[in-house]
Amino acid sequence: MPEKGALARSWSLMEASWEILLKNKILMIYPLVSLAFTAAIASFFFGPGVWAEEDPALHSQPLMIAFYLVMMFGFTFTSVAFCHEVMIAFSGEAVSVRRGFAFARRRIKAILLWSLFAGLVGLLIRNLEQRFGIVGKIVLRLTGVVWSVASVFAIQVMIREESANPLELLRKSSTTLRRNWKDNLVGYVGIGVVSAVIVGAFLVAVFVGISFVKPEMGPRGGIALNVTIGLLFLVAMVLASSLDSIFRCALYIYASEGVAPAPYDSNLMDGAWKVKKS
Amino acid sequence: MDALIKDWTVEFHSGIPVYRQIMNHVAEAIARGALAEGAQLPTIRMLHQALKVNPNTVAKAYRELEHMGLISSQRGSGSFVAPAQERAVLSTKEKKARINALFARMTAEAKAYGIQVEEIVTHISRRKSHA
Repeated sequence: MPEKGALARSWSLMEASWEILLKNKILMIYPLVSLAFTAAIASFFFGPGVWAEEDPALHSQPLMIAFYLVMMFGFTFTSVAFCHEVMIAFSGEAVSVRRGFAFARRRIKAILLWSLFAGLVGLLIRNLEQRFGIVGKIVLRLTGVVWSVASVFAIQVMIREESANPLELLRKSSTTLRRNWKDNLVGYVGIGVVSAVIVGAFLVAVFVGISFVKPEMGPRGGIALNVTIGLLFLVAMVLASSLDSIFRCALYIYASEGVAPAPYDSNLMDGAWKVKKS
Repeated sequence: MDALIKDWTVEFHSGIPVYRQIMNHVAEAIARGALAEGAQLPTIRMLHQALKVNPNTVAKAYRELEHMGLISSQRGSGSFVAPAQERAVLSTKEKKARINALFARMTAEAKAYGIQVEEIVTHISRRKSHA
């Protein structure tokens, strides 16, 4: 079989993820719950009344940290529920929203500890990045990449393992990765190439849409267009992130069980990584 | 069949792919006589549910075991332990290759558990002298 290019490979992987999503449309409820949670938490933290009484500068940083950690928790919780059901979908069985969330509730301790751990690591890297010069920034950016690669399977490990220890989850995620793809990995690509093409196509569509706005359409026309673009963008982002999460679950099964789940092709799974050129 | 599944768990992060662990478990059960000639193996569905693994993983393990001549699959009726004569058709070279592969898997698993190869050798010698 001739070797596929990065785009063709990414496209095939995206198609397989899309097939899973189409067969189990109910899975889309998870990212929607995550979005609703984000909106609710944002309005709670940044809604009217929060800044009213005292100097906002006194509270801004702790508030941002609290917001970030709560967001991490919400994201991890819905991701665990989502990935649990995706793994069931790979077996050809029916998925269930209730079962996914019930599973996440049972793993609440691990989710809480992981959210706190990952949230603090993220905050630390970001905070240090802002304090150092260009060299420090580069080093920390690389640390960020290493961290994101090492923790790539943390959610899936959380589903398969009883442990709630975040260091143990991180260790198992990175060893699963290293045993399969050795030490040449320099980044996770996933189905990013296709996502980039989709975003590019979306931007072209936006420019085409803008060119249709005529002054005689008045402010309402502009508002309607902006709302449509905003909604389309949100849908595109939710879809892209759901497809990538589905693919990541397939990649984890391939890495830990040695076999790619249907409808993925084992020969294409290695294309998910950016590899060091020798 | 139930005895085979009972207390059987797989280790997802040991470094040994799960399909290999399934192969090893079945091969070992056949070798020590826990699975007799002609005994039926659990169906793919049964085993994937019991071990909480993907059905493709069980299917691959069974395909490999069939390829090794240890089991035979009959469409519609399941997989069975192959008769001993069928297993004996291996040439000496093939048998050695399988023992080598088994040793490689054993040392890899031992390494994952932090066990030294020397300890395994001692263990084997001890078992041999008791036999």
